[in-house]
Amino acid sequence: MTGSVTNWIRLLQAGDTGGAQPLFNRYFELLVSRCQAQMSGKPPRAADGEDVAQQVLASFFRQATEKRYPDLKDRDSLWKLLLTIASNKAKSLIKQEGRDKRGGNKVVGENVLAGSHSVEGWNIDLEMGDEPTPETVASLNELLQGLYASLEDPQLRQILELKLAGYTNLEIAKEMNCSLATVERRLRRIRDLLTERWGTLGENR
Amino acid sequence: MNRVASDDAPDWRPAREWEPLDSACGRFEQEWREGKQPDLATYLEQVASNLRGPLLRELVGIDLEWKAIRKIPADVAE
Repeated sequence: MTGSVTNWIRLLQAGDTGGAQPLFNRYFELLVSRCQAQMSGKPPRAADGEDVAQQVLASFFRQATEKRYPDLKDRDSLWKLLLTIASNKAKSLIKQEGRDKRGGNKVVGENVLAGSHSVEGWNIDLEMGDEPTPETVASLNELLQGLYASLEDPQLRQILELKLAGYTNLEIAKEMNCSLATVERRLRRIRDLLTERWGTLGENR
Repeated sequence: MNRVASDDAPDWRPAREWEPLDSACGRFEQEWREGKQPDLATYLEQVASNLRGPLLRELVGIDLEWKAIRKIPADVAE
Protein backbone atom coordinates (compact mmCIF):
# COMPACT_ATOMS: atom_id res chain seq x y z
CA MET A 1 0.00 0.00 0.00
CA THR A 2 3.06 2.23 0.28
CA GLY A 3 2.95 2.60 -3.48
CA SER A 4 -0.63 3.80 -3.32
CA VAL A 5 0.19 6.50 -0.80
CA THR A 6 3.17 7.59 -2.89
CA ASN A 7 0.97 7.82 -5.95
CA TRP A 8 -1.65 9.83 -4.09
CA ILE A 9 1.05 12.22 -2.91
CA ARG A 10 2.30 12.62 -6.49
CA LEU A 11 -1.21 13.32 -7.70
CA LEU A 12 -1.73 15.91 -5.01
CA GLN A 13 1.59 17.59 -5.71
CA ALA A 14 0.65 17.70 -9.38
CA GLY A 15 -2.44 19.63 -8.39
CA ASP A 16 -4.80 16.70 -8.90
CA THR A 17 -7.16 16.83 -5.95
CA GLY A 18 -8.27 13.28 -6.73
CA GLY A 19 -5.39 12.25 -4.50
CA ALA A 20 -6.91 14.06 -1.54
CA GLN A 21 -9.81 11.78 -0.73
CA PRO A 22 -7.88 8.49 -0.41
CA LEU A 23 -5.20 10.23 1.63
CA PHE A 24 -7.86 11.74 3.82
CA ASN A 25 -9.59 8.39 4.26
CA ARG A 26 -6.36 6.73 5.23
CA TYR A 27 -4.89 9.32 7.54
CA PHE A 28 -7.81 11.00 9.23
CA GLU A 29 -8.52 8.19 11.62
CA LEU A 30 -4.85 7.56 12.28
CA LEU A 31 -4.36 11.20 13.14
CA VAL A 32 -7.42 11.40 15.35
CA SER A 33 -6.19 8.36 17.17
CA ARG A 34 -2.74 9.80 17.66
CA CYS A 35 -4.00 13.19 18.78
CA GLN A 36 -6.55 11.64 21.09
CA ALA A 37 -4.05 9.28 22.62
CA GLN A 38 -1.69 12.13 23.35
CA MET A 39 -4.27 14.37 24.96
CA SER A 40 -4.25 13.10 28.49
CA GLY A 41 -5.25 14.50 31.84
CA LYS A 42 -8.96 14.87 31.12
CA PRO A 43 -11.65 12.36 30.16
CA PRO A 44 -11.36 11.69 26.42
CA ARG A 45 -13.49 13.87 24.24
CA ALA A 46 -13.90 12.70 20.67
CA ALA A 47 -14.10 16.10 19.06
CA ASP A 48 -10.74 17.33 20.27
CA GLY A 49 -8.67 14.78 18.39
CA GLU A 50 -10.97 15.19 15.41
CA ASP A 51 -10.62 18.96 15.51
CA VAL A 52 -6.89 18.68 15.23
CA ALA A 53 -6.93 15.92 12.61
CA GLN A 54 -9.37 17.80 10.42
CA GLN A 55 -7.31 20.97 10.59
CA VAL A 56 -4.11 19.05 9.92
CA LEU A 57 -5.41 17.41 6.78
CA ALA A 58 -7.06 20.57 5.50
CA SER A 59 -3.78 22.41 5.99
CA PHE A 60 -1.79 19.62 4.37
CA PHE A 61 -4.03 19.37 1.29
CA ARG A 62 -3.97 23.12 0.81
CA GLN A 63 -0.22 23.36 1.04
CA ALA A 64 0.51 20.19 -0.92
CA THR A 65 -1.45 21.45 -3.91
CA GLU A 66 0.57 24.66 -3.64
CA LYS A 67 3.74 22.54 -3.90
CA ARG A 68 4.96 23.55 -0.44
CA TYR A 69 6.32 20.06 0.28
CA PRO A 70 8.79 19.28 -2.50
CA ASP A 71 10.62 16.68 -0.37
CA LEU A 72 7.52 14.67 0.34
CA LYS A 73 8.01 11.31 -1.33
CA ASP A 74 6.37 8.44 0.47
CA ARG A 75 4.18 7.19 3.29
CA ASP A 76 6.80 7.54 6.02
CA SER A 77 7.67 11.12 5.22
CA LEU A 78 3.98 11.95 4.91
CA TRP A 79 3.18 10.48 8.31
CA LYS A 80 6.02 12.42 9.96
CA LEU A 81 4.94 15.60 8.26
CA LEU A 82 1.33 15.11 9.37
CA LEU A 83 2.44 14.51 12.94
CA THR A 84 4.51 17.65 12.90
CA ILE A 85 1.58 19.69 11.65
CA ALA A 86 -0.66 17.96 14.21
CA SER A 87 1.70 18.84 17.03
CA ASN A 88 1.68 22.49 16.01
CA LYS A 89 -2.08 22.53 15.56
CA ALA A 90 -2.68 20.88 18.91
CA LYS A 91 -0.49 23.39 20.69
CA SER A 92 -2.21 26.21 18.88
CA LEU A 93 -5.61 24.80 19.86
CA ILE A 94 -4.58 24.58 23.48
CA LYS A 95 -3.36 28.16 23.45
CA GLN A 96 -6.50 29.37 21.73
CA GLU A 97 -8.82 27.58 24.10
CA GLY A 98 -6.80 28.70 27.09
CA ARG A 99 -7.31 32.27 25.95
CA ASP A 100 -11.01 31.69 25.35
CA LYS A 101 -11.42 30.13 28.75
CA ARG A 102 -9.70 33.02 30.48
CA GLY A 103 -11.46 35.65 28.39
CA GLY A 104 -14.81 33.93 28.39
CA ASN A 105 -15.07 34.24 24.63
CA LYS A 106 -16.93 31.62 22.74
CA VAL A 107 -14.91 29.80 20.13
CA VAL A 108 -16.39 30.80 16.82
CA GLY A 109 -15.15 29.56 13.51
CA GLU A 110 -15.78 27.45 10.50
CA ASN A 111 -14.74 24.29 12.26
CA VAL A 112 -17.76 22.07 12.38
CA LEU A 113 -16.58 20.47 15.55
CA ALA A 114 -15.65 23.68 17.25
CA GLY A 115 -16.84 23.81 20.81
CA SER A 116 -15.74 25.08 24.14
CA HIS A 117 -13.56 22.43 25.60
CA SER A 118 -11.80 22.83 28.89
CA VAL A 119 -8.16 22.14 28.29
CA GLU A 120 -6.56 23.04 31.57
CA GLY A 121 -4.09 20.45 32.64
CA TRP A 122 -3.99 18.75 29.28
CA ASN A 123 -0.71 17.34 28.25
CA ILE A 124 -0.20 17.62 24.53
CA ASP A 125 2.99 16.08 23.33
CA LEU A 126 2.66 14.42 19.98
CA GLU A 127 5.55 12.16 19.27
CA MET A 128 7.07 11.27 15.98
CA GLY A 129 7.14 7.58 15.32
CA ASP A 130 5.30 4.60 13.95
CA GLU A 131 1.64 4.57 13.15
CA PRO A 132 -0.79 3.81 16.00
CA THR A 133 -1.35 0.22 17.00
CA PRO A 134 -4.10 -1.79 15.26
CA GLU A 135 -6.02 -1.80 18.56
CA THR A 136 -6.03 1.98 18.71
CA VAL A 137 -7.07 2.24 15.09
CA ALA A 138 -9.83 -0.32 15.66
CA SER A 139 -11.26 1.65 18.56
CA LEU A 140 -11.00 4.79 16.50
CA ASN A 141 -12.83 3.14 13.63
CA GLU A 142 -15.58 2.20 16.00
CA LEU A 143 -15.83 5.77 17.19
CA LEU A 144 -15.96 7.14 13.65
CA GLN A 145 -18.56 4.61 12.58
CA GLY A 146 -20.70 5.75 15.48
CA LEU A 147 -20.17 9.33 14.48
CA TYR A 148 -21.30 8.78 10.90
CA ALA A 149 -24.13 6.51 11.98
CA SER A 150 -25.46 9.33 14.10
CA LEU A 151 -25.83 11.38 10.94
CA GLU A 152 -28.68 9.56 9.24
CA ASP A 153 -29.39 12.31 6.74
CA PRO A 154 -27.17 11.80 3.65
CA GLN A 155 -26.97 15.55 3.14
CA LEU A 156 -25.58 16.03 6.63
CA ARG A 157 -23.02 13.33 5.94
CA GLN A 158 -22.05 14.95 2.68
CA ILE A 159 -21.59 18.32 4.34
CA LEU A 160 -19.46 16.79 7.07
CA GLU A 161 -17.33 14.95 4.55
CA LEU A 162 -16.76 18.08 2.49
CA LYS A 163 -16.01 20.11 5.59
CA LEU A 164 -13.51 17.58 6.84
CA ALA A 165 -11.92 17.54 3.40
CA GLY A 166 -11.20 21.24 3.84
CA TYR A 167 -13.94 22.82 1.74
CA THR A 168 -15.09 26.29 2.78
CA ASN A 169 -18.74 26.83 3.57
CA LEU A 170 -19.16 28.72 0.32
CA GLU A 171 -17.59 25.90 -1.67
CA ILE A 172 -19.89 23.42 0.03
CA ALA A 173 -22.90 25.59 -0.84
CA LYS A 174 -21.86 25.61 -4.49
CA GLU A 175 -21.15 21.90 -4.50
CA MET A 176 -24.54 21.11 -3.00
CA ASN A 177 -26.48 23.77 -4.88
CA CYS A 178 -27.86 25.39 -1.75
CA SER A 179 -27.55 28.67 0.12
CA LEU A 180 -24.69 29.50 2.43
CA ALA A 181 -27.28 29.90 5.18
CA THR A 182 -28.26 26.27 4.69
CA VAL A 183 -24.68 25.06 4.92
CA GLU A 184 -24.11 27.04 8.09
CA ARG A 185 -27.37 25.83 9.62
CA ARG A 186 -26.58 22.21 8.84
CA LEU A 187 -23.09 22.52 10.24
CA ARG A 188 -24.63 23.80 13.46
CA ARG A 189 -27.05 20.89 13.38
CA ILE A 190 -24.18 18.44 12.89
CA ARG A 191 -22.24 20.01 15.73
CA ASP A 192 -25.26 19.76 18.00
CA LEU A 193 -25.95 16.16 16.98
CA LEU A 194 -22.37 15.17 17.66
CA THR A 195 -22.40 17.07 20.90
CA GLU A 196 -25.58 15.31 21.94
CA ARG A 197 -24.01 11.98 21.15
CA TRP A 198 -20.48 12.52 22.35
CA GLY A 199 -20.99 15.10 25.05
CA THR A 200 -18.30 17.53 24.00
CA LEU A 201 -20.04 20.75 24.89
CA GLY A 202 -18.38 21.16 28.22
CA GLU A 203 -19.23 21.27 31.85
CA ASN A 204 -21.66 24.15 31.70
CA ARG A 205 -24.26 22.49 29.53
CA MET B 1 -19.97 29.92 28.64
CA ASN B 2 -22.26 27.41 27.00
CA ARG B 3 -25.42 28.40 28.75
CA VAL B 4 -28.47 29.18 26.74
CA ALA B 5 -28.22 32.78 25.63
CA SER B 6 -31.95 33.18 25.14
CA ASP B 7 -34.97 31.00 24.52
CA ASP B 8 -34.58 31.49 20.81
CA ALA B 9 -30.84 31.26 20.40
CA PRO B 10 -29.29 28.53 22.48
CA ASP B 11 -25.67 27.55 22.04
CA TRP B 12 -26.91 24.04 21.58
CA ARG B 13 -30.19 22.69 20.24
CA PRO B 14 -31.46 19.11 20.70
CA ALA B 15 -32.12 16.87 17.70
CA ARG B 16 -35.87 16.90 18.30
CA GLU B 17 -35.88 20.66 17.68
CA TRP B 18 -33.49 20.57 14.77
CA GLU B 19 -35.58 18.13 12.78
CA PRO B 20 -38.64 20.39 12.21
CA LEU B 21 -36.42 23.45 11.80
CA ASP B 22 -34.14 21.92 9.21
CA SER B 23 -37.00 20.23 7.44
CA ALA B 24 -38.97 23.49 7.09
CA CYS B 25 -35.86 25.30 5.88
CA GLY B 26 -35.17 22.54 3.36
CA ARG B 27 -38.67 22.78 1.90
CA PHE B 28 -38.49 26.57 1.88
CA GLU B 29 -35.22 26.52 -0.05
CA GLN B 30 -36.52 23.87 -2.43
CA GLU B 31 -39.31 26.23 -3.43
CA TRP B 32 -36.75 28.90 -4.24
CA ARG B 33 -34.74 26.37 -6.21
CA GLU B 34 -37.86 25.54 -8.23
CA GLY B 35 -38.27 29.18 -9.17
CA LYS B 36 -41.04 29.98 -6.70
CA GLN B 37 -41.02 32.70 -4.05
CA PRO B 38 -42.17 30.99 -0.85
CA ASP B 39 -44.08 32.81 1.84
CA LEU B 40 -42.26 33.00 5.19
CA ALA B 41 -45.45 33.14 7.25
CA THR B 42 -46.75 29.91 5.77
CA TYR B 43 -43.67 28.09 7.00
CA LEU B 44 -43.72 29.67 10.43
CA GLU B 45 -47.21 28.30 10.96
CA GLN B 46 -45.92 24.78 10.39
CA VAL B 47 -43.80 24.59 13.53
CA ALA B 48 -44.47 24.78 17.26
CA SER B 49 -44.63 28.29 18.67
CA ASN B 50 -41.34 27.94 20.56
CA LEU B 51 -39.53 27.26 17.28
CA ARG B 52 -40.97 30.16 15.30
CA GLY B 53 -38.32 32.64 16.41
CA PRO B 54 -35.37 30.43 15.45
CA LEU B 55 -37.12 29.32 12.25
CA LEU B 56 -37.73 32.91 11.24
CA ARG B 57 -34.04 33.71 11.64
CA GLU B 58 -33.06 30.73 9.50
CA LEU B 59 -35.64 31.46 6.81
CA VAL B 60 -34.71 35.13 6.58
CA GLY B 61 -31.10 34.16 5.87
CA ILE B 62 -32.16 31.81 3.06
CA ASP B 63 -34.72 34.30 1.77
CA LEU B 64 -32.19 37.13 1.52
CA GLU B 65 -29.66 34.97 -0.28
CA TRP B 66 -32.14 33.81 -2.89
CA LYS B 67 -33.52 37.31 -3.34
CA ALA B 68 -29.98 38.50 -3.98
CA ILE B 69 -29.47 35.70 -6.52
CA ARG B 70 -32.74 36.53 -8.26
CA LYS B 71 -32.10 40.27 -7.90
CA ILE B 72 -35.35 40.77 -6.01
CA PRO B 73 -35.18 43.81 -3.69
CA ALA B 74 -35.45 42.83 -0.02
CA ASP B 75 -38.43 44.41 1.68
CA VAL B 76 -37.34 45.70 5.08
CA ALA B 77 -40.93 46.15 6.25
CA GLU B 78 -41.60 42.50 5.48
